[in-house]
Amino acid sequence: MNRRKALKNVGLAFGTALSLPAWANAWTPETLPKITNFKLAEAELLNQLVEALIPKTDTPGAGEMGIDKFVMAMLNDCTPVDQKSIFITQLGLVDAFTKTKYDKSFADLLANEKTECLGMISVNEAPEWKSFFGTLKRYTVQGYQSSEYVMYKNGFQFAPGFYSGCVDLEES
Amino acid sequence: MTYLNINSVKKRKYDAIVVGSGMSGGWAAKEFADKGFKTLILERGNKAEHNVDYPTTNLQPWELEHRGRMPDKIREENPIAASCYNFHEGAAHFFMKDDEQPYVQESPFQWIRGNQVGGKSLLWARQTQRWSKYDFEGPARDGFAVEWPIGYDDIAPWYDYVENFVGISGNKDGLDSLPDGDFLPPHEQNCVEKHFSDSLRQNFTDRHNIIGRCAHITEPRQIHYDQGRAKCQHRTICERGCPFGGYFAANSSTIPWALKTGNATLQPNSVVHSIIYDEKKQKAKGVRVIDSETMKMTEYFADVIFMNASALATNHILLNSKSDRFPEGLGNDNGLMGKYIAFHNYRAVISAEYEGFMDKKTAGKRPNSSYVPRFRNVYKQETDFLRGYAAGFQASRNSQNGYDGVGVDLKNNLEKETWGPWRVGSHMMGETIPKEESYVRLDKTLVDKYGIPQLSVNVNYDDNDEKMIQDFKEQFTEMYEKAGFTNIRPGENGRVPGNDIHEMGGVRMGKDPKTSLLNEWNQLHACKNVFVTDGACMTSTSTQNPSLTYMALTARAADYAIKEMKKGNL
Repeated sequence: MNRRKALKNVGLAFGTALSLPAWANAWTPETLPKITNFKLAEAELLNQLVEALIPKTDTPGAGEMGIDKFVMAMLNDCTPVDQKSIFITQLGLVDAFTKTKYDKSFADLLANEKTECLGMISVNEAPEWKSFFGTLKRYTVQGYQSSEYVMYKNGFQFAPGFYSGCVDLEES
Repeated sequence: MTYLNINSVKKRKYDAIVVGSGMSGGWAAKEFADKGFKTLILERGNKAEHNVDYPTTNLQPWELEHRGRMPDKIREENPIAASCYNFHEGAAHFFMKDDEQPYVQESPFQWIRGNQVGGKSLLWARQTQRWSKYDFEGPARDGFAVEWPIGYDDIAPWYDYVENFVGISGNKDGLDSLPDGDFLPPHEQNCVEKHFSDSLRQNFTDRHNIIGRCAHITEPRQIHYDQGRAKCQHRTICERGCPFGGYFAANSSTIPWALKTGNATLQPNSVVHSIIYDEKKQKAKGVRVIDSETMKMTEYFADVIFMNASALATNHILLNSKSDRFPEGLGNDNGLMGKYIAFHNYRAVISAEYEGFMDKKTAGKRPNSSYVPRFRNVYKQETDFLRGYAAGFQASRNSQNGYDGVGVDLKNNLEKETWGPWRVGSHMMGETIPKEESYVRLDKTLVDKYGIPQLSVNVNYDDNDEKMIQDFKEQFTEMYEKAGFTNIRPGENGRVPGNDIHEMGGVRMGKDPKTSLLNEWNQLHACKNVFVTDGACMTSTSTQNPSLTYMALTARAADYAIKEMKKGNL
């Protein structure tokens, strides 16, 4: 029922033509605010890491969805300074790590190598790498799960217009 | 020059001045404007026109830069505002910044304030339960504060009156401890909430779990369409401002209604410094206002002044309204102004799980929860603490997604949903006892950026509150056990007074001018053309979310003031 009915009700109340609100427009990475205090190389590597963590399959990957912008926004504004500082330092060590291991920078790795590389970082017990990977994964997953694509795929309704207190679990 | 001055004064002369444009001020403005009185509404905060000034209202979750979380820097700069659950990216712009009007905390007190037209009516939790006769009779029966000068029968018709206009959804539950109102259709309790309701009914004679009564339009009446409001669409992001007017905010309802009459003038950015007392006529003649943008002070005049600035702000302005006749604040002959402040004790919570209804879940969203009305000491004193508590109660069931792995494995795991048990939670809303040592006063040296003395606040929990917290935990543990809930976890959230945002009193109503500041019509005993109808007027707090009662008291007092004005008495 709900969007149509919602719009109808608004029409009744205000009696005027309704221009579609922001939530009806498609979201693109370009509409996100620009993050400026990362170096370009760091930003590009972060995009690669985020995409490798949740890669493109038959659905979009986190990198192409621009989730790296969200990760940067969280690092800039909602992360303790020391934690962010560790993150930036470790980010700067990623290419050194892949050059030792694969003789290539992270961006040049094959898809399976990227996954393997992230797998190795994820089990590295050094506190700096634990902090780096934990932060990367938490923000990437949060951004991906709350993206327009995933939320609508999971049945998100902005204005459901109803509440049912007891439906069968299989129903959605 | 003389002529020009007179002309200017005439321009600044109104029939009524309403200080504050929020929950109660909107009602005062609406009532005066509706009856043809020229009314000036003064709001210290920003302009906030319905829809036009709701910048986040249609943002999707992914359009909020930090998915709702406020940047650390802003949180650190505003520890008081940031202590409120609604201080997030969707609504933070509706809070007063901490440095806008600093105050002194003699003891920890979080003074949460709105800073725009509509005040906190944009941000509120929208729960609207009536008081019962037992609530009004509390102070007299139990011997604290002073006797209320009114009872349920005095206010009941005014509850009816405001409920119809506001739009209150609820179920007629037939409880004398929580009277039914003029309800729109109720929201639905979910299976576990119904189960809890049934369990209470089977195991107790005096305890009930009902669907909350709340200010949401579940089925519009003509009066709501007349306001330009429509049916609630269950977005549950109300605090951003609702484009449908689906819940009640002054911005979508009383304020535009008052303006539409042509009789009301709304003036934001107007910080009221004090009320001007006319020593000859022995009544108030106007207010001094500082323009928050130009810092210029201007006087405005009226026959009647309604104080609706919010509980502590109204205390603040009255205490700062000094004259030869009232050296300690307007109407403060007995020295009690600012004293007997109380609040709601929200410190205790209790959560648990329920393993029934494992094949069920909920769908859609609900801007409401269930409610357990006060059951302690309702009809007679039966515990070792005074009064009692109501409680919010809610059950919900959510799925969890997998989180393991990296790459395609992680992506696949994120799509795997696991449904856990139902989770239930309840929070206590306790009545606190107004005491002389719980006070606000003007600081003797510190001033804010407008040159107004800072307010100094001293409000604390007491033994009665501690005992009540224990009782809440014990009683709800027992109620949860009887309902078959498991993993029961009573706890405390560390909230300090003020964080409940239900501070009340300081300019209390009463029968005797020696022991109270306001009479049964919310008039200052000693200055009859000044009315106080926001939280400052409250003699006691009871347990119900207070906004509905403020609105009813305001409509009632405005009706009285209008009749007195017509008789030439004001």
